Amino acid sequence: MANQAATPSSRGPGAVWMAAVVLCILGFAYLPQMVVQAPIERTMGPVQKIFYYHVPCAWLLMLSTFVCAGGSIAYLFKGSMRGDRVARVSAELAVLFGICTLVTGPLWGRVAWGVYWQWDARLTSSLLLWLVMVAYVMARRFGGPASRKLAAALALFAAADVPLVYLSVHIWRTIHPKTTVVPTLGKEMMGVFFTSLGMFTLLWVVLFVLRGHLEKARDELDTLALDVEDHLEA
Amino acid sequence: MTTLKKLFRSGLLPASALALSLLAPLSALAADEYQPVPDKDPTTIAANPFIAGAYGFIWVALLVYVISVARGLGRANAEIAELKRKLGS
Repeated sequence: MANQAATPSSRGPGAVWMAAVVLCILGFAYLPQMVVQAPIERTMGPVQKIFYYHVPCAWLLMLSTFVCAGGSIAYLFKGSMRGDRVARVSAELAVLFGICTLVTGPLWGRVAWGVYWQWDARLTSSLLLWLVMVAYVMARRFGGPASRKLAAALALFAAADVPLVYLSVHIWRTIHPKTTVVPTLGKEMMGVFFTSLGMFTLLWVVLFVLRGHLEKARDELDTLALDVEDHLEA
Repeated sequence: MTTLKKLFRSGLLPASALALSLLAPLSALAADEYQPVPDKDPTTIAANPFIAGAYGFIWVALLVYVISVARGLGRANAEIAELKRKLGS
């Protein structure tokens, strides 16, 4: 039994990593098939199927923002460089999944509402959240080491916007569907939705690990560059 | 104005209005009956490029991101190897 328990760890992170990557590729290749076979919604018709991509992207935008805020808090209050790395990585993922949300939503809206965009509370607050995360990434990209604290503060503002985005459909009158629509989904729709949500979340983990490797490599590079300077001066 | 009054008094105008109000729903019904049922819902045709476009955009965005991260990782590893070589020599 002890040997069996030890088996997964003995394979090392490489095996888990490869399994996650393969599962992601297979899942994303099969997902369109599932979406095609999903039932057609009565009032909106087939365009409602964009829901199976749009909502997971929006969920990952919010998750990335919260992770970024968590890392930023660790950096601001404890000086954790690991927290700073986590924040930087998740901010990029927030921008990535945010743009996917902001593109897929209007494509759905064009058919369902007749327009690509409405300055509605949900859409506007989501755009604002994405712009704050873009500001974070830009500050970190071009601001140098001094921008770390400023960017961390931006992440806290972004995290404060997340509940507003989520609750906007309940607080204000909007044309966007309410969040209460998910529990009302039929069995087949629910299956496709949660499979898609799971696949997207797994993809997020894979991208987070991949981007985390790059961040670690850059930190190592900075340390080595300083070592080389010291070495040359000596 | 006087012509209208005459028509109203003669009962022709009210009768015509009554006839029109009765015939209107019938004509609408008749039009509905003779409307050919499209073999495909128009929204089906309109929606497909949008659904494919949404999924396609996500794929392209993810692919671009993965390629940029992989290239960055390759560059960083090459520079690390170069600096380690410099430190070793």
